[in-house]
Formats: sequence, C-alpha cells, structure tokens
Amino acid sequence: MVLVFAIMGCMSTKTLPPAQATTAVATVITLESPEDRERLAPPHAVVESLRTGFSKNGLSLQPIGTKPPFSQLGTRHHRTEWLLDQTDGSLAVMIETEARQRSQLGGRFQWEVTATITVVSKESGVLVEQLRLPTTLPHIHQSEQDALVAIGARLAEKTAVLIQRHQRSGT
Amino acid sequence: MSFLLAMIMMAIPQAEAGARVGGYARIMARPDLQGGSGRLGYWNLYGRLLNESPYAALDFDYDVLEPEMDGNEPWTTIHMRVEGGSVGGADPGNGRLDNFRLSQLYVLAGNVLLDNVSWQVGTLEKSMGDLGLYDMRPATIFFNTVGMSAQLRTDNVELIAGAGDAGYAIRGENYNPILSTGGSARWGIDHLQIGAGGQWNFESSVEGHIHAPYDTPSMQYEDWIRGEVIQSFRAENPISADRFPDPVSSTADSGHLFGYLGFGGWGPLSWNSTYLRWERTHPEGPKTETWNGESEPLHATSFTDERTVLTVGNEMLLTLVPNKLDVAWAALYGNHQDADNDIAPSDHDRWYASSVLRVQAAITPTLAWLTESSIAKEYSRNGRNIREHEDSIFSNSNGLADTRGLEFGDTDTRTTWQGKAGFVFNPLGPGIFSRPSLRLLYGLQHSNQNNAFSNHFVTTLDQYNEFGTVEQHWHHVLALEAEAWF
Repeated sequence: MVLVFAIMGCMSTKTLPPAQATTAVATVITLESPEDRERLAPPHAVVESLRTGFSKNGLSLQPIGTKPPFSQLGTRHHRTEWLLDQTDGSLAVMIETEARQRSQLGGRFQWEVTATITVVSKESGVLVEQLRLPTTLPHIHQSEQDALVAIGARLAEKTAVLIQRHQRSGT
Repeated sequence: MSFLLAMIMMAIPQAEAGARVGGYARIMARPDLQGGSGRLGYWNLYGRLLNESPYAALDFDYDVLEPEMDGNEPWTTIHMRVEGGSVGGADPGNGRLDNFRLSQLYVLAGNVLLDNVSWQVGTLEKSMGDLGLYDMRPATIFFNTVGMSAQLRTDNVELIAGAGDAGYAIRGENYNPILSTGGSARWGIDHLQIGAGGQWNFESSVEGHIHAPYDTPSMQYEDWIRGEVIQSFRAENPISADRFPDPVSSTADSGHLFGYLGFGGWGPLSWNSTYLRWERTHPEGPKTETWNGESEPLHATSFTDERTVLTVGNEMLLTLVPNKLDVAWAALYGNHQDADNDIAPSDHDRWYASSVLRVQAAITPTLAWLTESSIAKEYSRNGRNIREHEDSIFSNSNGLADTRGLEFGDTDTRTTWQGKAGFVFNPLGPGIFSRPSLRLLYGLQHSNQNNAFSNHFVTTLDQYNEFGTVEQHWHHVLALEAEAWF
C-alpha cells in the first residue's frame, strides 16, 4: 500500500492555466476516406472534443458551415483564402483529416488519421502542420468517423498548441 | 497576402509519402516465489490477464501508390509484420531474434478492374474481431493461407473470397501443397452486425512424394498411441526379412465454418459480440517410431482425420458510468472431439467452459482500479488426465495403480478460479481497452490440480528424487506489466 501511495504521490497534477480572456477561433473540420473516395461528415463527438480541448486552453470554437463541401473548394490555398474572407481576417483554423484503416492486428483494427491543421489570421499569417495520429479500434464495423472520434482529444490538444504558437508568433 | 499564402502552401511538406508503422507490445515481471515461471495459470481460458507471456509485433505499411480523393487511379500498399513472443530479460528466450518471424507479407491494390474491390496477394489472414478477454479470434479465415483474395466493401456489406496454399503453414518443412479456399460475408447497420464465413483445405495424394498423406496399413490405434507398432509387427513377423508394410496413399482435408453476431450502442451496452465456430482440424503427418534398433515412419492420416472443435464465445462491453466505470463480461465453451480415439485422454477429446468478468473504475482520467475474476471447468472425456496430488501417479481409475494404463492422473476434471486486482495507468485516458496500459496487479488462483501453472517441479516419486515433491493448490503472483497498441 505504501508503494501505491508513493506512486500516486509521484503522479503529476496538472495545474489549470490562469483565467484569461477567451479567444474565438473560427473552425472548419473535414473528413475524407481516400480509399473509398468519400467525403464524410465529421461526427458531432469530434466537434465536442475540439470544443473541450480548445476551452481548456482559453479558446472558443466557432464552427463555420460550408456549402458546397469545404474540401471541394479548390486547393488548400483557396480554402485558406476563403476562410480568411469568412472571418474578415481574424483567427481561424482549418483541420483537414483523412482516415484509413491500416491493418488488422490481434483481432483489433488499426487506423491512422492524417490531420493537416492550418491556422491563419490576417495579422499573423499562416501556420500549417501535418500530424499522423494512429489509433486501434476494437470492432470490425467501426469506420473513419469512429477513428476520428478516437483521436479527437489528441487532435484538440495538438490544434490548441498550434493555435497558441500562431498567436505567439504575431505578438 | 494571397501571394504570401501561396508561397507558404507550396512550402508545406506533404504527408511523408508512404511509410506507416504500428504494432503491439506486452512485457511483464511476475515473480511468484512458488516455483512458477511468470504466469498465474496454464492458459487463456481463465482470462488473458496474467496468463500470457511477453509479446511484440511490428507492423509496416508502405504506400507505393497512395489512394487519391479525386480520381480513379489504382492505389497499392505493401504490408509486412514481424512478431514473436520473447523480450530480453522477460522470458527464457531473452528476446533472441529466433523467437520472431515475418508472419505477414502482402500487397494490397485497389481501383483495379472493379470499383470498391481491393485485391490482396500474399498472406491472407482476416478476422471479424476477437474475444478480447480471452485473446481468441474464432471468426478468422486464411490464418494459414498464402494466395490471393478479393474484398468488396460497400456501406453495409463486406465480402471476401480467396484461395491459396496452406501447405507450408500446416506442414512446415514436410511441405506438401494444401489447396485452401474460402470466404466471408458481413452485413451491418449501425447497431447490428451479422457475419459468416468458412475455409476448406484439401491435400491431395501425390504418388512418390514422401510428405504427401499416407496411411500405414494394418496398424492398430492403441499400438500407435503407445508407440508399440513396430513391436507388435515384429511379434507377428519375427523374421527381419519381413518387410514393414509400405504406406498407402491417402488424401486429407480440413476446414471450418463460423458465424458472428454483434450488436450494441443501446444505453450502457457498448457492444456485444457472439461467435460460433466449428472446425475439423487437418490430419497429422507421419511420426517416426523406433524399437529394437528399427525405425519406421508411421503414417496416421486416418487416425487423425476425425478431430473436431466447436467453440462458442460471447463478450459484452458495458459502460455503466461514462469515463468512470466500465465492465467487460465474457463466456466461452469449447468441445473437442476425436472420433478415432476412444481409449486415451487427450486434448482432442475434452470440453471446457469458462466465464470472465472485468470491472475497471477510473480514479482519475489516467488512473484506474481493475478487478477481474474467472471460473473455469475442463473435463476429459477419455479418462483421467489431471493429477490432484503429488502422489497421483499411484492412482488411476478405481484408485489402483496401472502401469499399462493410458490414464495420466487421478481425476478427469480441472476446476480453476482466478482473481486479479490492482492499479492501471492509462496515459490516453479511461477505458477498459484503453492502451497503453501500465499495470500493478496481484493475482490469485485456486485449482484442484496440483501446481496448476507452468513450473519446473520434479514430479517423479522415485526414491532418488533429491528435490522432493510439492503439493500446492493456491498460486499467487505480483505483476508489473505494460501493454500497448500503437
């Protein structure tokens, strides 16, 4: 038991960042399945994960609706321009994801989500980072959307860090 | 601004084309101070937790041609897997590379000839999931097949058909081609999945080929079991010029069928998977018997071609309090039958049933308390094969010593209970199957069998046994272990 308390005592306790003004972030997230050539709707649970992850970092997610599908708006350059137009040049983030099932391993199903995160504002320019987020799903019927939900918290954390880097670069 | 944007976009590194890596690893230290070798019980029937050894797998993919969203161009990926059950300092193999093998190598191609169809050439193993608490995969096809398969996938349907050769996987160095063919179908909507599949293997006779299936004529089953075939033959044919019977050519086949039912997403029921599998195992190849300086290969295709295995398993995952309290419950029934053998206890003639319950409660988002319990019964149909006591060698049927008997112990039933509990650290958050998982566990087992765990005790009652014998039915282990999917 002493060992248990010793372990618990050594565990880091994350301190919350000091209260600060919330920054609104216009956000678009897309999901594609390249093997099936399908553009899919990002599940609500992922938007909620992003919202939670953003709010932990003093950011407020503002979803932007698009029509036609956002990922069909030309190149990434065109989409970034379009995003800046919609937000009048204020802070915006574009999270473009692709999910692919990679393998079956030991009765589980290994997926990989590739996320290209573009943070942009008129003031600070563009910051782009590409991430590969692997995840293992337990059931055969699970899909690209389930893979995106599974990595949602990690995606939110990494996006928030990128936004903060972008904000620092403009000060 | 527009020009600047364009320049920056051009400078963005595209996805490092191609290589992707994943895998699985588990490692543990489990001292027990009772003579065991690091596992709580004999096998996964009592739950995989604390009953498995170290394992590592590395899985590689390389996209030769990546799939593109816009366009209908072919895509192709090469896949390899290296895996094995040894890690330096954690098991007798000490991580030596001869414990590892290249278990999978295939090339996958899509958008070739048919839409929504991917073609796979190489190793073909496919599974519809697993009984996670037992680490068993009843709904698997082509585990042993190298060949070609086609997979059609639409929103609700998945069809797989394939064929190839299972000869090296089944026969190893004694290779003879074994034609393998089969397929599977799965239909599903959001909360319901139904699947079925099967595989059939056929090994033809090949005249003159020493590794093709044969039977040794005039051989009695009991002589074969006892290793007394040559002795019996020479008793009837004492002149050495009498030729031991030449093998007679035969054929062999095997196969399995399975069904899968999955449902869930209702209230606390996250998912329930039910598997049913019936299998007829492939007949054995020859084994060599030696008596009085004479060695003969004994071909026993017809002695080993009626072995069947029925497996029924269920696993239920419940989320009682989201992110706080998860439960996994599983049950397994297995029935092995060998219609050729009515005289000797064997792993091919037994049934077993088991149930495992795991409860995991989150203390913090990354720390949890795990409790698991299992109860299992294993019954031998062809007589007693379990030693309940250190001196069981003296008792067989009716409590009498029988030096010519085929029985091995003093009971036909093994009953095992296991309990496990401890702390689990999950860096990626709560969940009963959240990985990586770092565990500090205590495990306890009771079995009616004496020393019911892998060990190095001396069991002989010989008067010159300098180590003596030990009788113990409780087994304790303390485990520090880690498991990761990545």
